[in-house]
Amino acid sequence: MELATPLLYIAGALMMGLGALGASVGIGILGGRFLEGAARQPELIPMLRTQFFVVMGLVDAVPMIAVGLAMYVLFAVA
Amino acid sequence: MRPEYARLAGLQGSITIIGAAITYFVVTPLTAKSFAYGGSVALVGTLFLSWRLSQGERRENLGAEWYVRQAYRTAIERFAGVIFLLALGFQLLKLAPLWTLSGFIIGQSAWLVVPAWARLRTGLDKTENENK
Repeated sequence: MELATPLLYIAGALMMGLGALGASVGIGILGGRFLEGAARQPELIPMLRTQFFVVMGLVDAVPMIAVGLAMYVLFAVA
Repeated sequence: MRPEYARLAGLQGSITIIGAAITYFVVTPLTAKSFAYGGSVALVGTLFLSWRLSQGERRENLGAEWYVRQAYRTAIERFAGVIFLLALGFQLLKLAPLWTLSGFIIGQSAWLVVPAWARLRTGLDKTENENK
């Protein structure tokens, strides 16, 4: 039982850290593709930027949920 | 506000209000407050992203790199903002963590539903046009 609380903190930290890692990789790839598209067809930037921001929110959604779960583990369970 | 964001914000707002109303009558008023707070945190994230996009739209002749820089900044700010708001709710406002989190997750899942629904609708429209 003594080990349970530190393990919960580690679990929360892992959830937040891995969530941030996933989001950063996803947004990095997305940004790279956006720049590629903008370099190929600069006239499409207005359309691409809207899609970029919408997909960014989508990529961000799951790590945000992981953050929420981590906060629950840190504040309510541990 | 762009229609994509208006749809998302509308869905998140409706889900939050309906969920809070259900929990108010079925569970307890505190859980309704917690659920509404969680949903509002998700809604604030969406509105913040929409505001950042509109900042770029108002200015002329911005390069693609400006949008990428802005997007990365926004992602970090949203991440930190959500952590701060949820921690504030749990520690200072003493909200029920499970219900706060439920509201947040359900609000946030609108991000997964709306693009999938839009894609499905586009696919259905395409199939209908092909059949014609």
